[in-house]
Amino acid sequence: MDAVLRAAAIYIALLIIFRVAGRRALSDITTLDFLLLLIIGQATGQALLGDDHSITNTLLVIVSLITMDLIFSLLKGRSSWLARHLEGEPMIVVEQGRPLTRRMAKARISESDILEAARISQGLERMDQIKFAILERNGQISVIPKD
Amino acid sequence: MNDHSDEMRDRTYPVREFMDVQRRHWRLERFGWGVFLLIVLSALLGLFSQGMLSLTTVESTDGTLSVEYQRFERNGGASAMTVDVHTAPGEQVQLEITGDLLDNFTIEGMQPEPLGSESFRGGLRLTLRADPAGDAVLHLAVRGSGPGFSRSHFALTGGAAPITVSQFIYP
Repeated sequence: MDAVLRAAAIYIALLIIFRVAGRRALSDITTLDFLLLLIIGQATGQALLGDDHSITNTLLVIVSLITMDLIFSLLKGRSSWLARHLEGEPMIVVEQGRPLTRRMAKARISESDILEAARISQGLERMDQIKFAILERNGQISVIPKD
Repeated sequence: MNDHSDEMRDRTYPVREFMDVQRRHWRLERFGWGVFLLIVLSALLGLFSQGMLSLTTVESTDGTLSVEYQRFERNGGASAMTVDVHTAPGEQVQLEITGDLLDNFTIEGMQPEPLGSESFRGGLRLTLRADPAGDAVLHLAVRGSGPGFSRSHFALTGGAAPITVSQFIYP
């Protein structure tokens, strides 16, 4: 019982924390972000297992976590409302070469982030070559070039 | 040029937007950051054990017995309690500990080892000897083992009314 409750509590807590931290927070992983993730994993691991390091407890925790994940993905598939709130929706940040600066400020992305994405994915050089730049649900910026 | 008025309008191409939902998320995000900050500040102050708000001392009405403890404990976390007895030099006293302490905590160690230890009304009765200055100090190493509120009572046999130690153990 203990293992399942621990897993559920940690799953929900992490879901809320990372939702609040925003989608840009840990998606474009820098070295520091990567280290942070490792440390968060380590801290979480301790709380998940407690002082019981048996194989049974470990397996119970893993199965409980994956079950939680399955339940949530099934619920998200059934309810677009839930999906929209848990994962967000894509948002346009550049429209016909015009950066939508207020949206960008709210989403904490800069023009240089967009230009970087444009260079990496499309080999574009200037803002006016971009038809649409879209902040996707996973925090990445996708770029559609002008014809 | 810098007209932002239409930025919050929903676009439908190339993706379907829900700017209302998006703005609600942003507001929620900002609120969440505030909560994060509050959590960090209150942790620094000791709301989650080990700090100004947590460490406290209670003393019996006659001043012969005092207990220093953490108001906030964590399940599975180690911490310390210190019991101070003031009595006549060299005298033996009996300290009675009852209440939730033995249920909600594991006592991992006592320093110095009491002269005697016996069960007493579901609790413990410890025999301590005061030093030449009349002080007997007992250090308890405890570990929370049951989340929730815990009320324990400390008294000297034949002494003043028991002092109550109220603690909250976080899960």
